[in-house]
Amino acid sequence: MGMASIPDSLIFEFLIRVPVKSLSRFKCVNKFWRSLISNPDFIYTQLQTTKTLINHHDHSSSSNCLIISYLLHDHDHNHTTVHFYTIKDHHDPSAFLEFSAQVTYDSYHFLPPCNGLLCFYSARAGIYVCNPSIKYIVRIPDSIAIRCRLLSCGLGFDQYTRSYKIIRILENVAADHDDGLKIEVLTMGINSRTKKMINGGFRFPNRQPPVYAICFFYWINNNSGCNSNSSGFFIQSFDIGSEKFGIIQFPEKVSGKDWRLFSLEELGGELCLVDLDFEMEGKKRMDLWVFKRSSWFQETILHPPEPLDATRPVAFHG
Amino acid sequence: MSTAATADASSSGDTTEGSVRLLTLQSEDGEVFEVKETIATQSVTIKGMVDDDCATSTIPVCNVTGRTLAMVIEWWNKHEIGAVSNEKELKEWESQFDTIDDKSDRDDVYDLLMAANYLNIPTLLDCCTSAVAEAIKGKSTDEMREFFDIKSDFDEKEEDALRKENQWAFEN
Repeated sequence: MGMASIPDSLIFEFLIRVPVKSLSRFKCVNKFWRSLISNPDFIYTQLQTTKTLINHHDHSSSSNCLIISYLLHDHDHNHTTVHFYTIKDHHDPSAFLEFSAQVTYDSYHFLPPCNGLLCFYSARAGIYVCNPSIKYIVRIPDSIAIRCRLLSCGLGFDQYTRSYKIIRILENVAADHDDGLKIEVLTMGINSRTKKMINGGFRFPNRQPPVYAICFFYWINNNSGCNSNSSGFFIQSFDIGSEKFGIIQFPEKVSGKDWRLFSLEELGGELCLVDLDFEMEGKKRMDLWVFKRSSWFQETILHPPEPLDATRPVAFHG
Repeated sequence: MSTAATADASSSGDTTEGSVRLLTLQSEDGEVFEVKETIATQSVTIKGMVDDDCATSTIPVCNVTGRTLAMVIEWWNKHEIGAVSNEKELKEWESQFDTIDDKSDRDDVYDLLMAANYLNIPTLLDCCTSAVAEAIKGKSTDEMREFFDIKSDFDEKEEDALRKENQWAFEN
């Protein structure tokens, strides 16, 4: 008898409690175990359990770490290597090379991590998603839409279906300007990726990748021409669960400002609008507008010694 | 066995004997246990029955033997809210689940797991699953197949490819 007739639900409970190195090995046990361990729901639960265990137990031996990515370009062999380093211990800052992967030769834009996964992309080479803890990297298949070029993408997590979703913004290379952008939403499943295509009506004026903050993607959109005045500009939201669009107006106080000096960020799980348009004050001020429970909350940061020209807050998890 | 469990339940120094309801549990193999309601409701399943007023007669605990049920009751007694003040003693008692490589330990943990799963006892389930996780984490794929008595359904080529893909996990 013994463990032979154990129910699948209990196997799940055992596996979420073992380290990722064991998991990568156990993928080879049989097909059922492989699909169980590769399931996004499992990955999410394992991550949450590990986090809880880390909080409750021993901090020093935890796998809690900072991941740093580093690109190395090899022009001769026409490829780029991405290195993932981790710093596991605050007291020992030496970086440990966790994982390297070869990708198409290009320069890449890295998105902030989302629930343990990292995403990076370039217009030419496409989108890669990586789970550095299990040393797994996958290239997302290109869009089949014709005459389209990748502008940007975002990686988010649907907490209800526990699946990761990628939003991909595509530009029609034949069109004159921003009109006719296409949006694709991809769900990363166990073995397949379902895709939903949304056409037209979207602009993407500041080219900043969509920001993911708990259940939504956000980016700046406009409904008129391309003047730099913030009238006509708004924040486009996309609900990852219901896949529906919404609109958030800028705070009233910023109307008339130069939207090109705005950026969107995620701060502690909340959407945050950063306003750096303070020419009159010698650019020594930055306003953070945090969007909480459907209203904007203003926080002003003054930095008297130097202009805040190129400063943008770095997102964090609170 | 049944008398021992009853004695255990009532000897824990409860002075408000009159207000404490006793539940009667019957194991798969017919052993009968009387357990204080306040203790037995650590099982979500039993709590549901009590809340729905379905716990008035003997509660059959199918799939759980008397031997296992006695272990479960011991767990309940040690984990009753307010009953155990000695954290160290509790940890020591729990530590018997830490090493389960021995066949008989493995069977005990299996029985407890199935009981904890059936009766829905979150604390016991967590303790047992953690014990199993601790026992399996260092095992090789072959050892895992032996432990859970499962066969590989990969062909040789597939398994080689998978091992190559996850090579780092097979190195020390």
